[in-house]
Amino acid sequence: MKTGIAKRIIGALDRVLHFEVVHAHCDIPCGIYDPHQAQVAAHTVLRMDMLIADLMKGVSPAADSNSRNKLVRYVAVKEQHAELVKHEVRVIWGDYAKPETADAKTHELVWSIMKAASKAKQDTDVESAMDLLAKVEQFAEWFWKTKNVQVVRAKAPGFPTEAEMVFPKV
Amino acid sequence: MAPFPISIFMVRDHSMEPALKPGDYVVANRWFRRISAGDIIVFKHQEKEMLLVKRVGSIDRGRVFALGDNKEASQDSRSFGEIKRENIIGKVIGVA
Repeated sequence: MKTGIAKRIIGALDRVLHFEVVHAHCDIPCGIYDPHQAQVAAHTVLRMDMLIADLMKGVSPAADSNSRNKLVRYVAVKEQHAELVKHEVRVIWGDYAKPETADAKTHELVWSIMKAASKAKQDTDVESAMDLLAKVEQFAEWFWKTKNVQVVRAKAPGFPTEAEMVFPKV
Repeated sequence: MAPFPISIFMVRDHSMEPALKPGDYVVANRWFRRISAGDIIVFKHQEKEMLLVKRVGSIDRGRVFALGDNKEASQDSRSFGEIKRENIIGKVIGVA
């Protein structure tokens, strides 16, 4: 029965009768969302920029194959985690956020995270990574607020970035 | 029992690929007597106002475990559990 003719006939009927839709669903909202992964990834981007800065102090990468190897690895990890930030934020924004929880400021923030993550890929400046991290932490605050969960800002325990992170108070 | 034995539905999303692609139509028998593992069924989501189409993986005491063919891109009984018999709308008997 799976023929072009049958489909055309049913399609014509559909335009009149409007058949119901069935979802072969791959995105049923499971309710399990958490910005933590994006936060950790943003910290990782920052850490990579810090390591790159340390590596470049007084070192000529061209003259040292070990340093060059490290540099390539740091940049690769930075690239992956900046992309992970974008992915995680997009999923929460696209699948979890609703008109009643996400206002124009939220959309602006998500847009700015996408831009900041791209910038963090393009350069090795600690400031770029700090900017990305700050925006992701703002996003985490927004997320927990939508769930009526209070948050606390604290240094991420044990993270060598020594930067703040937003934690839910549960 | 449904007033009419046959219903047609349009498929959205990808979890039943390659058997069903977005835009395909499925013809479902609402007066089916029994379903077996391997059948494709249309059913109501347990919590959401939506209809789903999946393949029967197994049946145990009237409760159906349904899976998407494209398991890497499917949310199905692995995440939302077994499907009650009363939530099953029909058994797919044709695809166009």
